[in-house]
Formats: sequence, structure tokens, C-alpha cells
Amino acid sequence: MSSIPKLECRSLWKIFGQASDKVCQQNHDNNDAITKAAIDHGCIIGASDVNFSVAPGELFVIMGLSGSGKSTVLRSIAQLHRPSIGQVFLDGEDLAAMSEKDLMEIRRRKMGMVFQNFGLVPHFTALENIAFPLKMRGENAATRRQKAEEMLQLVGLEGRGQSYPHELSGGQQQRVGIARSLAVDPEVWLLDEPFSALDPLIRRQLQDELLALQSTLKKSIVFITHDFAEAVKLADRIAIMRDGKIIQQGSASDLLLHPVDDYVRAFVEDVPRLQVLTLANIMTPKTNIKAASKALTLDQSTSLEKAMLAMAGGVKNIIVTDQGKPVGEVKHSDIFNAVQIAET
Amino acid sequence: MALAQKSKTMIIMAVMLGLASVIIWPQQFAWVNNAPLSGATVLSDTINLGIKSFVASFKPALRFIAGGIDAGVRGLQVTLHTIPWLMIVALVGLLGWRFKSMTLAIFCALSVLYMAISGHWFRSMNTLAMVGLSVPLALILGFGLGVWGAKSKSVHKVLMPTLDLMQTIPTFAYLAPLVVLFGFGPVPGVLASMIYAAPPITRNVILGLKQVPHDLYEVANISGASSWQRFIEIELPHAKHQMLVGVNQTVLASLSMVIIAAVIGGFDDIGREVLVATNKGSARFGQALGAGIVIVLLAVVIDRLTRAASESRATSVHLPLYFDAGVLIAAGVIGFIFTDQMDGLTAATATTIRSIEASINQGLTNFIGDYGLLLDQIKNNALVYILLPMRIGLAKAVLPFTWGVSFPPMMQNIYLLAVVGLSLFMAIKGRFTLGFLILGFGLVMFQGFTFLPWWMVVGSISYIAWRCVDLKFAAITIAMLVLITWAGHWQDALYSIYLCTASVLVCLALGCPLGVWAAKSDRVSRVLAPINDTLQSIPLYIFLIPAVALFQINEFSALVAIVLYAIVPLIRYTEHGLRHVPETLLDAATAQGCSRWQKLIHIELPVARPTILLGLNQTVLFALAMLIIAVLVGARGLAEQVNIGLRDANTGLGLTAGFSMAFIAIIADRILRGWAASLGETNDISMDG
Repeated sequence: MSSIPKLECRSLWKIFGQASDKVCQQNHDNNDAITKAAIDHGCIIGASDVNFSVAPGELFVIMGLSGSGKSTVLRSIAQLHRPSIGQVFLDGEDLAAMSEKDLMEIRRRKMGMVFQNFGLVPHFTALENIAFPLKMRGENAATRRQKAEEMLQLVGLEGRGQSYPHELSGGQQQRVGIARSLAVDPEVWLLDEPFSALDPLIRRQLQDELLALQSTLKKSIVFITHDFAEAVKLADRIAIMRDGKIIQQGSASDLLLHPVDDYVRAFVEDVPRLQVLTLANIMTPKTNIKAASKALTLDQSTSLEKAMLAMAGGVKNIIVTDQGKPVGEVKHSDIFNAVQIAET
Repeated sequence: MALAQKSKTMIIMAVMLGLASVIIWPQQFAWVNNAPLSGATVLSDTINLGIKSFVASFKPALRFIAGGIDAGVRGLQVTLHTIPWLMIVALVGLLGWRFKSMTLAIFCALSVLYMAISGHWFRSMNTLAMVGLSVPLALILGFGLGVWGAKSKSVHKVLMPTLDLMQTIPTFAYLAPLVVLFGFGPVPGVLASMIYAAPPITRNVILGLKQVPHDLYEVANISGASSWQRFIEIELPHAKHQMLVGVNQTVLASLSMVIIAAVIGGFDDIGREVLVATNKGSARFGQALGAGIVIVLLAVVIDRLTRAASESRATSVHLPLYFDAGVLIAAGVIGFIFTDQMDGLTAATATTIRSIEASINQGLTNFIGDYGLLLDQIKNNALVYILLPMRIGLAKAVLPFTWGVSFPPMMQNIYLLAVVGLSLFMAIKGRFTLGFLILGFGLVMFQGFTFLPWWMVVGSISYIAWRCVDLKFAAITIAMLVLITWAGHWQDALYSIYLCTASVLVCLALGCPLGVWAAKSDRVSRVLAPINDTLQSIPLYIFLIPAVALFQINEFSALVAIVLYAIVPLIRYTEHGLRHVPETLLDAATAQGCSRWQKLIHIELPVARPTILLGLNQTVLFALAMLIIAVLVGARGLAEQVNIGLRDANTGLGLTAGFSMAFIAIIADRILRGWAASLGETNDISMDG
């Protein structure tokens, strides 16, 4: 990590059940001891020793199947339920140790959250829903209205401000949800499977809009999904969860090229490698490159798919550059090898 | 396995024979049938002493409360009497129009107009003054309790049974202590009405707040709402509709109770007028009917208006509100300027209506003259052939004097042999429940309800409680029944159970077929629905009027009044249950070649059974509630004791008998609901808006 993380979870545990307090008050030597104590007391472990950090402006995706504990982690970050053990640092302050009152202030200024089922208040109009967090922190009516209109425009719903949630389509409702979560100008943006309840076309559209928004807003994002393709499309980094634990985290190509186990491998199997992998992933680093006659020059962030199309004219070698400077070399056969690994 | 089955059969047959012999020869088994422990009047005396010393030590505080409430009622009374009636007619009309439609507006305005021109205005407004004070009190109390109960689990645990008690203790029972504490007049009526009318709003507030989805809590929290902001901005608005349903129920309950409170007297309201006229029987039927109509109109107008208010969305009326203000002021001004002419008009119309009432009396007298024989026959047949044997048993009821035949020992033995033999046969066949039912029914009919041995009633009821609910409730049942005996109310309790059972059986026999019919025919349903609505929203007293007019004052009139009131839920739930049988199930039955009857018997009724049982539960509770009012037309038992307690200001007697009735209601309620739940998914309609 080059910069100081915006958000950091350190050995975070969430244990559900009546005896959870009892389990947490005991001293445990290691993680296995905690797990054993929790199970012995009939508790259910929602999140177990979760560690990760999110850099400023980074889009961090937590991905896992249902019941893997990804929503639990998100709710523990937001302190919607308090973590059993561990810390959640936001700008170096531990949220888990904070009083409800201080948390309220944090939520009013630094945090926004989008819910899977939109979480719109049915007796509020779209505008009132968006203005709700502003109202909570005591903004006056004129400011609220102005800001809410602004947000409505941001998500492309101009003119629908007076509609009630039941008068909006699913996609429109989630746009309102997104607008609401952004109304307080949060630094940390938490999205809990925001697009899972939408149909595929709308989902893709909103994913694109999210990326467009993020390119200007530069929030620090924790995004939950069960859809690996969505994770790959959006994420700077991905964490894969299973049974309450993070089993691997890294960039999409890290997961693709170096899966830690069969579980991760199974996940990445269907991913279109040509689209995900970039020249940077497969190049042979070299700084002194002679300009060969038939060589092609491409930036290192170019996907293999694009590189292949560019090579269609019979080019054998690519010179990989970073900000114009040559950093490595990719041969025609390297690309085929990279795809073939996937097939085996 | 077979051996175990065999020995089980043997044991059950032995139990059956044992039970039968103890019941058939009560004298020989006197030691088991002896009267149970009874503290006679210890309990009620203690309560009386307690209340007396309480009154003595808190006199100033009680006087202060009574004074405040009395002043409130008088103030409202004066206000309502000062406002010209034309203005109130205009007001309800405008409300109906704004809340719903012109139809409702016209209906409400005409109803109130009738109150004015029929000469019942003064007393109606007195009643309204009491309602007007007790409703806000009940709403404040009920809302506070509801919020508290929704927020705190431990409060909720205590609150729920308390609400059950507040609604199941016969209202007369706490009128007595209220009279002792606050004296006669409108004050105990207002307070009783507050106690009785608070539970509906409490229940609905709790229900509404608990229905707020978990999502919205998270949204509120993540938006940085404090718990107070969350309550005001999210929870209350979300629960609004449910709470308005509660307001409607509370207002109706309050009116119902204010009418009932007329028995304590001391306030010249419309309930008093009905009561006095009803007690004079068929001679004053016209007057009772006239005043009764006013009460029904009052109830229906209040019901429709509050319901419309709770359902009203953006109305189609676009006229600005100062139009309404203008109409009101105009009506007020006209009313004031032409006071004398208006009074003259209403006096004239009232006289006309009085003469109509007189001719109704005459008509009824003629009708009874013409059909009296038939009515008496119906009444006597019911009394002699059904009610009397149920109460004292065939052995004593069948006499040459009553049935025209005697029931010689020889025949009695044959009857008993048949009953015992049939039940033993069923036991051998393995149908134990049916066997016990035959045995129980046969022997109860032989010896009579009120002669049932104490241990047998307690044993079988607590056994049923155990099977339908759980062991803990069986223990509570035994405790409650022991308390009833200890307070010296055992015989009265048996009588009350008997009359309630008889009424419920009649309700079953009439209500279920009506419900089936309504489920099968939309036309019947359309006719029955408004009748049921009206029967449900009018105060209990009204049911006494036709019963007394046709059958005078006796047990049968009580039965008729109870059935009229208690049959409604059974009809409704039967229809509701049948109409909610899944379509696919019916299609499947049709595909398998079921005839309409087969479908009804084998598919629809069994599927609807849990829902019908819920209706039966309501019917039982309604019957018990009506029982207390039916005292005025000839019911006896616990209800009579409660009434005596009220009459003689014997708080202890009234309260112990009242609690006994509440215990019976609670036991019946829990057992029937447990039974319904054990049968499968129910379709409750009670909380529907």
C-alpha cells in the first residue's frame, strides 16, 4: 500500500447468537480457539478474522455466495451491527469503539450506503428520500431541496422528484437510493448488492453509470456482489469470501493467474481472460528495447483481446509501454499461452 | 405394538366406565362429587374492604379527578347544545364529502338530521359529550402504552395479557368499582369507556410499529437519524394507516361503552333512554326502537367517517377549504337567527315521530296478539326441548308437565346403556376422541350442564388446554378455575358456560351455512356484508330490543340477543376461509371428478377449518361479552352476579364475578386459537383495514 488507507478492517469478527458476548469476553489464544468457543456456545459465525484496507478513491469489491458473510462485513463497517471482535478504522479512527452518538455524526457526514432492496421510505417522495439524510443532520429546507435536486440530476432522474417509490421502476428506485447515499457527500461509499435486484440490461447500464460517477467522484468504495463478472468489471481489487473468511484478495488478474485454491479457481473459470488480463500481466519486463521493424507499441493496460485484434495484421511482437516509455515485451505466443492456462 | 394398543384401549374403556358410573350415580359417589373448596365471600369482602380504605385515604385526589372529568363532560355538553344542530349537520356532511364521497356526505348529514328532528338531539349530544371526552383520553393512554409496548420487550410481555383482561372483563364489572371511587353521573362512564376503548389503539400501534421493515431501520441509522428522529420520520408515518384503523375501533368501542354505562344512571343520555324503554318490554317497543335507531345512526356515522378518514388519499374535491368554512358559518348563522323556528320545527317533527312510535307499539301489540301463540310456541319449544335439558338434564327435564311424556327408569337405563355402549364401541374401534365426545354429550344431556361434577369440568378443560396449548397453560387454567370456585362462583360459572355453549351451538348451526352460502353466492355476500358491518358496529344494547319485544324477559330472549350479536364473526370467517381456498386445489379437485358437494366437504371446509375456528373463537368471545348485557333480559349466572355487584355497589362481588367471566373468556380464547393454529395456516381478517 503506497498511501494511508481510508478504511481498514483489522481482524474483524462478527458472532451471532445469545452467547456471543460471553464468547467475546473470554481470552482466546488464536482464531481457532475463538471459532471453537463460538460453536461450543451454539453461536453462528458471520465474519471471521476479516482483514482488508481500502485506499482513498479505491473501489474494493467483496464477492461471495449468499451466506458467505459479505453483507455481515459491510454492516459491521457501517456499524449497523457492532463487530464482536476487531477494529474498523476510518481515517485512523476506530468506529467499533465509537459511541452511537459519535457514529451518528460520522454517518451524517462521511458515510453513504446503498441497499439491495433500495430501502426507500414508502411515504416519502423521491426528493424527500434523497433529502432525508440532510434533514437528519439539520440542513434547512432550501439547502436540502437544492442538494436533492442536484443529486436527482446526477442520477438522471430530473423531473421525477415528486414521484413516490411505488411509482418508479426498480432501476429508477435504485437511482434514488444511489442519490440518497451520495447526498451527504460521503467519503466512504458502501454498496450492498445494489444491482442484484435489477434485470440484466438495467444492471449493466447502472454499472456503467457507477463507473462514470466514480471516475469524477473518487469515493472510497466497498461494493458487495455475488456476481464475479460484476466484480471484475468494477473492481480495483476484489476479496473473495467463503464461510465468513476472506480466502483471497487482489486484482482481478491476480485472482485469475494465481488462484489460491480450487474454490477461487472455480469462480474465475468462466471469466473471459482475454478481456480481464492486460499486457502488464504477461509481458517480459525489458527496458532496453530496439525498435524492431514489425513491432507494435501498446500501453500496458491494454487488454489481451485488444492486443490480439491489433496483431491481426501479422504482427509478432508488441512493445509494452507505460506512459510512453517502453517497459516490456510480449510475443504472439505469450498471449496464446495465457489463454491456454485457462483452459487446463 | 399391538399389545400396547390393546392395553391403551382397555385403559381408556376403564376410564370411560369410571366416568360414566360417577356421573350416573352421583349419590353413590358423593365423596368425589362433593362441592369443591369455596372461600364463599372471603375474596369479595377483602376487595370491598380494600376499596373502602382506598377511597377513605385518597378522597381528595379522587374528587379532583372526578371534578376534572365532570367539568370536561359538562363543558362539551354545553358546547354541543349551544351549537345549532344545523351547523353539526353541515359539518358531518362536509367531512363525509372531503373524506370520501357525496354519497357518504348525504348519508351522514341525513343521519344527523334525523337525530335533530326526531327529538333525540339533546340526549344524543349528551352521549356525544361523553364519547368526546373519553376518546381523546383513550387515545392518549392507548397510544402511550402501544409505543411503550412496541419498544420494550418486557413491557410487551406484561401488556398483552393486560389488554386481554381489559377487553374480556365484562364492562359492568369495573363500572362497579368506578362508581364506588367516583360516584354516579358521567364520570365512571367516561373512565370505563377509556379503559375499554384503549386496547384497540394500543394493539394497532404495536402492530403498526412492529410492521416497520428492518430495511427502514437500517436506512434511518445509516442516514444518521437519532432514535427520536427515526421514530418521528420513519416509524410513525409508516404505522399511520394501522393506527388509524385503531382509532376507528377505539371510537366505536368508546361509544359502545358509553351506551352501556347508562346502567349506572345519573346522566340523561340516549343509552339511558333505550335502557328504560327496553325494560318496559313490548309496551314501549316503539320508543326503544326510535332511540335505538339514533344510537345505530350515531355509531354508523362515526364508523364510516373515521374509516373514510383513515383510508382517504388525495381527495377528488378541489374546492378550497374556505368554502367549507363558509358553509359552516352560514349554517351556524341561520341556526342562531332562526333558533325559535328551528325548535318549533323539530318539536313538530318529534311529535309526529312520537306518534309513529306509538303506532309501532300498537302494531307490535297487534302482531303479538296475532302471532303470540306462534312466538310462544317457538320460545317454549326451545326452552323445554333444548335449553332445559341442557341445563338440568333429561332425567329431570322430561316430565309429563313439560314434554307430555315421562322418562321412566327403564327408558333411562336403556338411554344410558346406549350412550355408554356406543362410546365403548368407538373406543374398541380406536376412535377415542369420538368415543369421549359421545360419552360426554350423552351424559351431559342426561344429568345437565349445571350438575356436572367439579373435578370433571376442571379435569377435561385443563386436559383440552394441555392438548391445544401447552402444559403451562393447562396449569394456568386449573389455577383460574380454582380461583372461580374459591370466590364462590362455581354454580354461576357453570350456568354461564351453559348459556354460552347453547348460544354458540345455535350460532354454529345458523352461521356456518350462511357463511358457506355467502362464499358460494356473490349476491348473498353483497346482502350480508353491510348487515354484518352494521351488526358489528352498533352498541350491544340494541340487540335486546327485538329480543324483548318478541319474547319478553327470559332465558330464550337472552339466547336470541346473544345469537344476533355473536353470529356475525362466524359468518364472516366461514366466508373468508372458503373464499381463500387456493384456486389450484379446487382445480385439482375438479380434475379428479369431485362434485360440488364433495369439493365442499373434502377440500374447502377442511382447508378453511382453521379460519372458521378463529371465527368460532370470536363468536365465543362475543357471546360472553353479550351475556353480561343479556342479564337485562333474563340471563343469569356470573353475569347476574356482576350486575348485582353493580346495583348494590358491592365491588367485591362484581369484580370476582367479572374476573371469573374474564377467566372463562381467556381459557376459551387460548384453547380455540391453539386448536386453530394446530390445524394449519389461518386467514385472520380481524386486523384488516
